[in-house]
Amino acid sequence: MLMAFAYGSTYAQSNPDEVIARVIEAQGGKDKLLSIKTVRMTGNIEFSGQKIPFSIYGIDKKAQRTEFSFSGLTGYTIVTNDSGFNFNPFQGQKTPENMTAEDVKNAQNDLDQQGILLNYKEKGYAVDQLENEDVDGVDAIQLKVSVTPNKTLYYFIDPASYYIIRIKTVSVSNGQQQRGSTDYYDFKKTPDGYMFPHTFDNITFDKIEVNVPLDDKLFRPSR
Amino acid sequence: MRKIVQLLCIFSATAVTNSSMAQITSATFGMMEARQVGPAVMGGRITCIEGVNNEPRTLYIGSAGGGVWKSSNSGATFRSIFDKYCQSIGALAIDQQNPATVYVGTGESNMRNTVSIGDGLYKTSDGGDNWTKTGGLDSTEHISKIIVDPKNSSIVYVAAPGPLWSDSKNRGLYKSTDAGKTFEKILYVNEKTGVADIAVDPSNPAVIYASTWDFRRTPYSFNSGGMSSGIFKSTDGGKTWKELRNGLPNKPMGRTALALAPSEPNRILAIVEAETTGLFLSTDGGESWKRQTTTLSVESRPFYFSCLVVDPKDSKRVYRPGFLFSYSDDGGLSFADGSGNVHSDHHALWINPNYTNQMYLGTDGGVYMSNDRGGSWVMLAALPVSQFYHVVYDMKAPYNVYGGLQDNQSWYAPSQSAGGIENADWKNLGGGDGFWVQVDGTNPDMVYAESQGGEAFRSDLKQGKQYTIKPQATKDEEKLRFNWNSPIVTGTKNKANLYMAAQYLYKSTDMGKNWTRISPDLTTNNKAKQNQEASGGLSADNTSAENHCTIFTLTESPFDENIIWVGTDDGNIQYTTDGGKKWTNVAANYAAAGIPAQTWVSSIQLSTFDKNTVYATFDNHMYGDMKTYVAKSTDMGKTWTRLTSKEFTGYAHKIKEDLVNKDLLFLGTEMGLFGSIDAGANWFRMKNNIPWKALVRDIQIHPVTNDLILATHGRGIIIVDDITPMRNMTKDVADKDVVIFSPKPFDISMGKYYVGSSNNDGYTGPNSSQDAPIMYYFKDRLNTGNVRVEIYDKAGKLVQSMPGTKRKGLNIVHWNMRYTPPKVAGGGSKMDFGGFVAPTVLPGEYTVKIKVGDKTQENKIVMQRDPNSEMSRDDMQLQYDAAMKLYNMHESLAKLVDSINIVQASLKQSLAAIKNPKVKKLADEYNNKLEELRSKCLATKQKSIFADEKKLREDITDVYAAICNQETPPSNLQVNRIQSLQQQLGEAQQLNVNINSQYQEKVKAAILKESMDKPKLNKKDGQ
Repeated sequence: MLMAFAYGSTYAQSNPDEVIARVIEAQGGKDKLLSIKTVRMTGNIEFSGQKIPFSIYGIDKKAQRTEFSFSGLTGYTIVTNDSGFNFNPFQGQKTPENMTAEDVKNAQNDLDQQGILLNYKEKGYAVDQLENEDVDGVDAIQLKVSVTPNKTLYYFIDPASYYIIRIKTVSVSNGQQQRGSTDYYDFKKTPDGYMFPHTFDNITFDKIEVNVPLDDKLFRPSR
Repeated sequence: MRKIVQLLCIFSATAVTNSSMAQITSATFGMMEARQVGPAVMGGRITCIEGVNNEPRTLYIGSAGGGVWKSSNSGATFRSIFDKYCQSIGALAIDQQNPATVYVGTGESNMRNTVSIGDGLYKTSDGGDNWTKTGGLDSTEHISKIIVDPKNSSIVYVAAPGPLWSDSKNRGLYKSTDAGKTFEKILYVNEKTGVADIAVDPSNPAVIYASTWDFRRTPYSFNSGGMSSGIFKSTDGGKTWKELRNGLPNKPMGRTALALAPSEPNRILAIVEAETTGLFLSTDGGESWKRQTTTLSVESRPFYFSCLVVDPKDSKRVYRPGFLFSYSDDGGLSFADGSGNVHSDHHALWINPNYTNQMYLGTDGGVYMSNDRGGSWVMLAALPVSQFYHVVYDMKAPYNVYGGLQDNQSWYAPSQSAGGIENADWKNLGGGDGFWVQVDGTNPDMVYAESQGGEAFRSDLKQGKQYTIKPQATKDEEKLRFNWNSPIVTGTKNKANLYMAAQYLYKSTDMGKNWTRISPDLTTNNKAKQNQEASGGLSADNTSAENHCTIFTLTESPFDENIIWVGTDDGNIQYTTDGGKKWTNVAANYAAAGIPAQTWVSSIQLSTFDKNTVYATFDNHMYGDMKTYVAKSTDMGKTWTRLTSKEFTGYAHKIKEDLVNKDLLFLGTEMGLFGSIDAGANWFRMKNNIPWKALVRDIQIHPVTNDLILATHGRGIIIVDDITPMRNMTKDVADKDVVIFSPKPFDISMGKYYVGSSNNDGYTGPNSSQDAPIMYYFKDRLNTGNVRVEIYDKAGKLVQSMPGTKRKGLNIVHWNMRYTPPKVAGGGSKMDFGGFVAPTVLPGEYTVKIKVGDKTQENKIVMQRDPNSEMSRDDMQLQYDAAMKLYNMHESLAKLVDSINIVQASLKQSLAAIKNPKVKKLADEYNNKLEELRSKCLATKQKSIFADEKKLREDITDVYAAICNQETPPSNLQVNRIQSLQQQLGEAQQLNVNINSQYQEKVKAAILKESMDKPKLNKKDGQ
């Protein structure tokens, strides 16, 4: 999930590494990012006045759980290095259902809690700096991150703050191109010094905690 | 009905900001995004189609005025991928060795009268997500073909016929050896002759065939053909060329379409325009040619139909997409028609090389797919690239939009519809090419429309009848000269007036049944420009497209029906102040302002604020001058001032003055929509979900909804809902860090147009939001700090709290006019959607608090009864009371279930430790009684969504949701049901009390006793 939090440099620069260095600096610095082992984010999805508790739990490069609760029921998505599960009791599911291998593979970079821009070369990603892009009036620096042949991310970075303000995802599933985009706002420092956005589109996180102990059970499917 | 906002208060805020002066740009209006409502039922002209050979479900479609679209699912859906760039597409090419690399040549090359222009070559390396202009071919204006060397991705050929309206060196065949970065011109004849087509031998890409073409248009004529047209061949990758002559017709030649058989590369076909146009075959790599027998359809209009394709595997199977879809099974010796149900006029064909039965055909009416080599076709009606010339609205609710389309008749559709505006919502008014449509000012069921050349008719939508109304010449008059796009205009001051124009102006006061000529010839009547029967060059082509010396635009004054202005295609602007007795020509006056004489007058806009103020747009592109000309006069045309901006691109089609704010202007050009909030002193390009270089042909503003309605020539109808924020925007406002807008009274409605849902068949244009908009402005994006929007009732009770958006510019939070949904009983075996339903507020005044960071600003919003609603104020109260009863029942039930859950959780914990069987039995009994009660309160046993279980929670939701979501007072049975459910709830609550009374103390005591009876562990035992 924290891949959402990498940051950037000045748009006049053509070297993506310089941009990435500024992004990482704005986020709290390389050492701080490297120290991330777990992340817990708790907040709400809001619509029509209703708040739906929403949480993300992540163990760096190993597992991630995204869950939301309503009406006494809790649904979740779990992705690990080699498996993935969806449980959506709101639509009548009674037991967790396996994700396809393709979807598990496409979700692997989400497990990188330190952010995929950090040491991206060692992780096997290619990054190109493309022409700046107008993101709702912000002349944003654009980085293209080729994660796998089937997944590309586009990072849009505010040149004033080096915050990542939008990530666009293009992936392929079942032969079809899947596209997504998330805007990030409400950047603030966590008590332990990370500068993270706390609003992802209509999801607001009240708390983002790093390196808290997480129960392994969270990452195993259960009703 | 949506009504919004007046500017009210400003507070200098909070979180973000730099104190720089804000530029008024499209971003200033942030979330005020346009709706592209289509249609796709009649697509626009498709100019090129390419598919990825090794993944043929990936298709790229180029259109005449709607940009580039991509499908990743064989055409089931499409996505626009070229919105920031020129929308006129001439050619596409995929690097099949690296299929994420695609080249787009802008500027269509089907050289009809209304063909647009391009601004060069673009390249993507990521399948269309990002594009870069490349190659320095910006001035070619028209590109007909791009070929990437099939064996060497660095080599790219671009065929450019070049400018249509002027001499130019920017034409010919260009070659790049660095994958499009730079180009060298490798075949050039002269400033009048470009390259129309090329073919590259896939087995030996150094062998190239190219056809040159001498052609030219003027506003009043077209010529295809000349001595420099021909077919050339190079065997060294374009270093040297040889003209092929053996067996080809004598010169002059016109446009030649080439097709090489990929499976037999020495076999080449050519449709050669000549004195006797024909199909020619060479089987020796062009050394000799032999005329084939053909059909009219194969030979007709070579300047417009330049597509010829040989099956990738079968060299004898030849396709000629032209006026019709012709095919040959004998290499071109004979042809048959396979058009079936497809729209006529074809320009593109892509055949899946892996399965050659499958093909995609681009026509003047969209894209069709065949899976049987053209035996049958299905239209892919999901491409909203329709080409409107004009648009109007009516005063119905929702209002309809009406307009005529290039080669696709005239249509109308509602601006909002159930589930969105679908293809099926569009109704056909008939015609050939469609242009002006007008709704009669006195009878909304009478609509005027036309085909090309003034073939006007009136449609009675109620009776389903149609009447021709075209004015006719009297015996003493010259032949009437109607423009291709002749004006039919209803009166502005006197709605009963109807006008039509040829070179004369006609007026009718009886819906076109009878006409009175009210002017002399208002054009220059230059006979040298009226020889259309000789137009076309080698192939005669007189379809009224080149008609000239005609009246092109006209308008009646909003102040006085006797004041009428007309503009002609040959440069006259004339007006009368006495209903047509006397006319004044002000052409010389606008020329004095720097606008070339004889420039086509594309629109005249009379100010609704000042009788003497007039705006006009001028289009000189037919003389090779692509500049944007727009001017204003405040003295009835005596003097003119040009309105200019470095933002402008494209020749001008239409200027529109706002109905409320005289300083708010809109300009539509061949390459974009522009806005000005300061009477034309400064302009900005409008981008918010409007293709940046959309071909904006017409602009209207709806007087009730305040919607800006655009007719685009390639992206259908585009609507910007309620432009009130633009009316209220000034430079001073934009310079503030934060501005809160005060909402106008808003009608309470549950969404008038949302009944039903889209069938997702083809393209569906979105509806506008029907919720109450709460608006505020940020000078900059709010990266830090939070925003909340809270609504309070008169008693100060929180109605709803919503997260606020944080975009740069205008932000809009839509309040659904409801309370916060109730807390519903949790747990059980399924979700209860009662937790997403809330009662609608009653009419009255509410407080809007907008919290930005640590600052709060309050405004009032008046919610009022929708005057069109069937519910009276009392009915609304009844509905509200009933809904709130159920709301409270849900919350009470939730409390009850919560209390049960707490006790059960505690018992569960205790039961684990209880050893005494009697105590355990008692606790079990207690738990079971509670469970029995809980299972009456909510569904606890449902196994699947297909085996529904309903208990009290679900029963309450049934009636609660029904009452909340109906725009009627509760029925008698609903009221009875509430009472019955209330009783059940009371019984459940009482039962809970009884169970607890019966067991709670007993169980507590028994557990306590058991824990006291347990032998105490001494320290040692416990270790």
